[in-house]
Amino acid sequence: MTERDYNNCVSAHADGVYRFILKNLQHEEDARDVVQSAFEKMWLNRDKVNAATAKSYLFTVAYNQMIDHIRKNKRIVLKDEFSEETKIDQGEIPSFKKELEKALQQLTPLQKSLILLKDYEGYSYEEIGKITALNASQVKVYLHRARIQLKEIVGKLENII
Amino acid sequence: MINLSNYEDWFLLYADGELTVAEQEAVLKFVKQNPSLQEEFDLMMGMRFQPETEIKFADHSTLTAEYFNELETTYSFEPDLSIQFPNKENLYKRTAAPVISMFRFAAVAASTIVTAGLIWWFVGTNSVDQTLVKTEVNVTPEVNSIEPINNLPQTNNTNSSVSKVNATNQVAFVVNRKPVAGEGNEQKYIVEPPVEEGVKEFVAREQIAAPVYTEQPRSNFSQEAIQAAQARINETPSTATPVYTSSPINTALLIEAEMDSEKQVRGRGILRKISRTLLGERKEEDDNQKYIQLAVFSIPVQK
Repeated sequence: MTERDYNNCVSAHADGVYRFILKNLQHEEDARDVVQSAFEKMWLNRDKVNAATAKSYLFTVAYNQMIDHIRKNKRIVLKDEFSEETKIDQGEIPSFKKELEKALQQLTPLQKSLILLKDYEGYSYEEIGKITALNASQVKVYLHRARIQLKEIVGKLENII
Repeated sequence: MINLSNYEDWFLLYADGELTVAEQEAVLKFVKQNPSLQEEFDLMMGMRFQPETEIKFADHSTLTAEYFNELETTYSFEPDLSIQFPNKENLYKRTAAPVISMFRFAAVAASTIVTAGLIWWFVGTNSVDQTLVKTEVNVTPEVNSIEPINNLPQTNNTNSSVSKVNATNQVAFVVNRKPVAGEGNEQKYIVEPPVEEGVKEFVAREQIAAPVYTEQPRSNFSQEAIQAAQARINETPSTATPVYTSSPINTALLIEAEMDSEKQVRGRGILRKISRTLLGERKEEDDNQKYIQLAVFSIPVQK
């Protein structure tokens, strides 16, 4: 890909990648670092990257770096999750959207990524499979399990409220 | 087709956007036909996340090609070659060459000499037999007149050069002959080496018809040995009771063997002198002291 292609890719996909990572990590600084690292890697490998598949490449790199980041900061993520539950116990009355956001944070990173790649970016099962190193059938099964789990969590939250 | 047992999967596929237009219409029609499932269908559709477009990456300029190019060019460093490690000599490693002591060198030299002497001694002893083995002699068919040989009992070792037989009025030692192809009326035999004592005993035995040899001296005998053999035959008194015409070939073989043994004895004497020089001569000879002679070395026996 040329320098121009690269810059077009930045304009077209930087926000989408950032949203995807931010929704997963729930941390703006970390999300920015991951996105910047992903773009830097694409720039360094620009000779090997095809402009047509640049978006998929970018999401793949960003997803992998995000998983690495989560592994490195596992304790911090757990702490964040407990704080979220504490907030619910404190009796806040969230809207359905907020409930859904909180329910999303209780899913695993893979489940979150599958749902966000599907809903945010509209990727097919095959495309999600390429990004997350799964096959299409696995993506379908995991994604359906994630949505059912999400529904159950939301139902529990409604009962608590 | 969608029904009450699989509707959940169809709802999930609808939420994922993986159905065709016709399938989507079929799902919507199924929900209308089953109003009790409408709430579940709505909940499943509500599980979908809409992209939040208000979330944007703050500064796109930090992702552009210009930014990364600037990072590569502006914030790269060239090595300062003027900076050098001050005490580089201390870092070099040198392994000292191994020192071979004179004692070790002398020990190696002595063991080499001893080994060479032992090999020479053993090989020199066997060389007599090797010179005698398989010496071809032209013998006339009259040799076959030694018929009693064939009547002797067979021994297991058919290749042995001499077969010893304990029987009176018989030849005690039998020269083992192997016939080989000859020219004309002559038949060639390979006479394998007779033992010296055996030949002597053979001469002293009872009268038997002595074979008449019509052989010619072989060229590989030294002239000196042939002359000595002829002289010895001539010295033999013709009136002697055992009528046995000794073969000059056999006699020459015996003389050569004697000469070799003389050389060997001479060689042993030289080695003995060397060993005495190296090991030191015994100053006081003790007549009562017993020694075991091993090659050129005399080992005193402990009393």
